[in-house]
Amino acid sequence: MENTPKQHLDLIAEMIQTARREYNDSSNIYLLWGWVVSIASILQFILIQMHHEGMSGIGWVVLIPAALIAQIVMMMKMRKKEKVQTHIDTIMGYLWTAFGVSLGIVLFSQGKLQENTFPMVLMLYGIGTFVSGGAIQFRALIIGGICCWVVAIACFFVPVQYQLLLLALAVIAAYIIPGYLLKIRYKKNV
Amino acid sequence: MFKELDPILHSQLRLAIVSLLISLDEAEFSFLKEKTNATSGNISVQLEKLKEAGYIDIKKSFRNKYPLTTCKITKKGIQAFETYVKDLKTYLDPK
Repeated sequence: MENTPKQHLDLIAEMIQTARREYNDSSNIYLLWGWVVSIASILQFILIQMHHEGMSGIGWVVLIPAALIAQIVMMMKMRKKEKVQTHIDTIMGYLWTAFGVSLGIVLFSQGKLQENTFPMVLMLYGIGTFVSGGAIQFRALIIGGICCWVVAIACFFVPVQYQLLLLALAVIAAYIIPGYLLKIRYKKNV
Repeated sequence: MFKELDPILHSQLRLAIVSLLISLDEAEFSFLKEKTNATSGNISVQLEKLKEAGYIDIKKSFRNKYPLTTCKITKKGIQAFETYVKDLKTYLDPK
C-alpha cells in the first residue's frame, strides 16, 4: 500500500529526531583536563608556599604529557565506539583545535605575557567551554565558561601564586562539575 | 498544483536513510541499519541506488580488520531532499 504524504513527512521528522538524539560522550576529556589542571596548579601553589619555587612546576611537567597521552588513547577508543559523526562533533573538533593552537601560542609567549599568562589561558578556557556548552545545549558548560571569564578578570588583580588557586577554581567550575553532570546526562540518554 | 515527487526519495527506506544522513556529517552502515530496522541486504541495495543517483557518498574502509562502510549525504542529495520536502508539502496544502 502506498504511504500518504503525511506519513512520509512523519517519517522524515522521526528520522531527524533520531539522528539529533545521537551524541558522543566527551565527559571524560573534560574530567581529565579538569583534574590535571586543578591538581597541577594547587600543587604549584603549595610548593611556592613551602619555598620550593625551583620545582614548583613539577606537576605540570609530569601531568601534562601524561594527560596528552591519555587523551589520545581516550579519543582513539571513542572513535572506535562512534557510529556517527554529527555536525556538532565536526564543529567541536574545529573549536578545540583552535583552542589548542591558541593555548600553544599563549604558553609559548609566557616570557612576554608574564603575570598575564593565566588570565589569557582562562579567557581561552572560557571560549572553549562556553561555545561547547552552547553547541550541545548544556547549561553547566555555558556557566563554566562564564566563570572562566570572571576568574580571568580577577586574575589581573592578584599575584601569580594566587592566580594558581583561581585557575583551579575555574577548572572545577568549567570542567570538573560540568564533566560529571555531562556523564550523568549521557548515561540517562543511552 | 501537485508536483511530481522524486522517485529516488519516494521510497520509505531510502527516505529514512536520507533523513538520517541530512542531520549527520556521516554515519556507519550499522547505525543506518539499527535506526531503520531494515535488513542488511535491503539497506545495501537502497544505499547503492542513492549512490548511483549521486545523493550519497559511500566510503569503504577497515576498522580492527573488519570492513567498515560509512555514508555521507552529498550537496546534490541535500538539494534533492529539500525539493522533495517542498513538493511533498504541496500535497498537504495544495494551492
